[in-house]
Formats: sequence, C-alpha cells, structure tokens
Amino acid sequence: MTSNIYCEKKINSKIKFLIRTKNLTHKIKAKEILSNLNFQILQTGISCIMGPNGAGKSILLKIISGLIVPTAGTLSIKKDCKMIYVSQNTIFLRRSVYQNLVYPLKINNIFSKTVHEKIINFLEISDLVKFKNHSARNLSIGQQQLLAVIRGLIIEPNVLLLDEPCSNLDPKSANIIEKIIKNSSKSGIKIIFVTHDILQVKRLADDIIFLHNGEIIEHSKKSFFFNESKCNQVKNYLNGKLLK
Amino acid sequence: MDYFFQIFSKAINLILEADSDLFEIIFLSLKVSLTALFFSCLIGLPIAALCVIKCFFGRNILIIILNSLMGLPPVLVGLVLYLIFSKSGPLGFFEILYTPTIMTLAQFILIVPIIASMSIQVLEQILNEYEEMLTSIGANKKDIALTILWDARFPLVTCVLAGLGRALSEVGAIIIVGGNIAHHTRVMTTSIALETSKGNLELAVSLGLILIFLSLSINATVSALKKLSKEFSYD
Repeated sequence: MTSNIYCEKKINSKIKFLIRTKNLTHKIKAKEILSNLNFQILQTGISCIMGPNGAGKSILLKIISGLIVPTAGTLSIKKDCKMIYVSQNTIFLRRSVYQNLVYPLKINNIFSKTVHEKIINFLEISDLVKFKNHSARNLSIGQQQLLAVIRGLIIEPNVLLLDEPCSNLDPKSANIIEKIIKNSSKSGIKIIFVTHDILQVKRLADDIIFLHNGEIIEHSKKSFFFNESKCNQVKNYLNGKLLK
Repeated sequence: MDYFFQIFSKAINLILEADSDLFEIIFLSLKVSLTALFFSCLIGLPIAALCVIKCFFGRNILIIILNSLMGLPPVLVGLVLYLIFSKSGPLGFFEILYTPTIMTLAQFILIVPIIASMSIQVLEQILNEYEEMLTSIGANKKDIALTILWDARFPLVTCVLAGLGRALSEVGAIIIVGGNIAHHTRVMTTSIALETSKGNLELAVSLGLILIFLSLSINATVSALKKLSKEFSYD
C-alpha cells in the first residue's frame, strides 16, 4: 500500500482519527473480498473510496457502517459516533416523501417544534418540496437519491456514508447532491463516499482510498493522488485503462 | 326447473321477511367467526412478526408447523377438542362443550396458522426490502417490527380476510364440538347440513345464499383493499 499521509509511522498525535482498521479482512464463502486492510480515516472532511467494479468498495462501506461484520481483523470507530449509511439502491417506506423524513426523526427520538420547518427546509434545498405529499417510491431515480441523502442528513449524523450517491443522475440532480455533500462537510459532518466518477472525486474529495481486488493500492490526499502518485494501477485507472 | 325456482324464491322470501331464526343463526355465525378472527389476529400477527424479525431457537420448526397446520382437517380439530373438553376429558371441568365458546376455540385453532403463515410471507418480503435501510437509519428490532407491520397493513388485511373466509365456511369442527343445538350453537354451515338432511331446502338455500353473499363481500373487500392500497399506501 502506498500512503503518504496516513501510514502508522507518520501518525501525528494531534490528528484525530474517526476510523482505524487493522488487518481488516472479509470473505464471502471462500472468496476473499477484502484482504488485510490497514488504514485510518480522519474525523473531518470528505473521504472517497474509489476503484474498479468488484474492488470491494461497497462491502468496505457497509463494514464501516456496521451492516456487515468483517470475517477477520479489527475496525475501531470513535465512540458515540452517529453514522448513517445511504445505499445506492434507494429504498423508501410505503409513505409520502414527508413521512419518509419524519420517520428517521421519530425512531431516533428527535422531537421538537421545529421538525416541520426542518423537513421543509431540507425539501426546499433539494427542490423536492412540491413532492412532499407524493409517494416517495414513485419519485424519479434522481429525486429518490436526493431524498435518501436528505433522509440520512436530517437526523444530524456525525458521519454520512454514501454508496455511489450520484450514479445514474442527471447533472442538475448530481449538482444538488454535491452541494449538499459540501455543505454538510463544512458544517462538520464527516462524509465517506464510494464512487467511480473521477471528476466527482476531483470536485469533492479531500482524501482517496483506492481499492483494487480487495486491497488498498493507495490512500492519499487528493492532490497527491491525482498529480504525484507513482502507482501504475492508479495511473492506469485515471487514464481509463483496464486494471488486471 | 320449477322445483329449483320454487326453492330459490322461498329462500329469498325467507331472507326478505327477515325470519328471526334465520337471523339468529347468521348473527351467531358472525359472532363466533369474528371472535375467533379477533383472537387469531391477536396471536397470529405477533407470531408472524416474531418469526420474521427474531432468529430464535426453533423458528424454522415453528414456521414448518404453521405451514403444515394450514391444511389441518377441521374434523380432526373437532375430534381432539371433543376428547379434551368432554366430561371425561382432561379439561372437561371447563364445561364448554356444546357452547359457542368451544366453537370459537375450534375456529381459532383452524385460522391462526392461516393468518400467521400468510403474514410471515408478506412480512418477510417487506423485511427483505426494508431491513438494511431501517438498520442504517438507526431502527431497532422493535421499530422494524412495527414499521413492517404498518407498511404491510393492506396485504395483511388480505391474510386476515382469508382467515375469516375459512372461519365462516367451516363446518366439520364446529358440528362436533358445538352439537348444532337450535338457538344455542346452530350456525349457518351446520344449519345447511342439518336442513338439507331434513329436506327443509328453503332454509338451507337461504343460508347458502347468505354464505355466498358473505364470501363475495369478503372477496370484494379484498379487491377494494388492493385498490385502496395502491392509492393510499404510497406503494
């Protein structure tokens, strides 16, 4: 693994990590999906997990979210950290858009007089306010992805995990989601997202974990990753070549 | 043909004249079946939710048993209840044999597996869809159970109505445990059997017509609910 800022030797005691892994491994049946991953993710900023199809990105994100338990190794996450995972397959309750936003507040015991205003505010930001009484399941794919991100953000998590939040989105919707991601990061929410989109990574990410065949090929800051990486697989990927 | 016509016209007259015996039988049928249905829902739906949400010891065996019991022969249920609750039986001291109470119990035993099994299938389908999403936004097991029960309410009503259909049309068990006693345990299905054997076909046909009407009403309700669910369940 090439890592210019996060390798163990260089850990600065003042740097606060949100996630640390040690030999994190995950197998499905006999197949090793993730192999001995060792990395740390900072408490702030936007981290991106990138790599070709089948690299293990989504599985890694699900392991971080706690939805999947790794078969070996350790994953340490900062205490009292409210983490929300937004899947690339958006699923909604058989309820209205508005009710789909009320629901996470209700189950997380977030009640206040301003709940209604808060929901309307989020719907306005995402341009979904006119659909508030529509079925969430009948929205377009782009609108559903927007709603899924908002549903995650409405309970004010410390960390938002997004699995390909802009896949299959038109530029307008992708732009809205990217704005929401940036603003959330500015307000202190840690964002970790999975994507294939190199341009989106350039626009959003602070640091990038590059996965290939279940291994971390590189974990570095964006500027290093795009300009100084010596790793051939990263270079090939960025040049649009197939990775072996 | 005239014979059929005569019987049908007399049967319809009986209904239109609001014959007190006829309505007593209908009322008791509905009372027994609806009570059995109420308790079956009270037990069957939580069992279904539990089987879907929790992974407990014996869960799969319970599901297999419930599925098998869907086809339980009513006469067998009647016979077993008779043996248990007859005077010389182990629970004979309850003295409920030949009462509407034991008829309700018999119907309850017959429809709990239907409601539970069908509900498990409905709830499992919704759980598979929702589980990851609900867990990821912080829902605990109780939240998940309540959410899937609520979001599955329309298909669950269909399961419940299937149970009601079975209860209303049941004859084998309740004729054994109820005894078909006039003004006491006589319900529509047992009356049809008795009146047909006595040759009193008008009353049998009128009860049959009402039974068909109830069955059609249940089916119409299921169909209307399906439409309603499309409109109101935001599916």
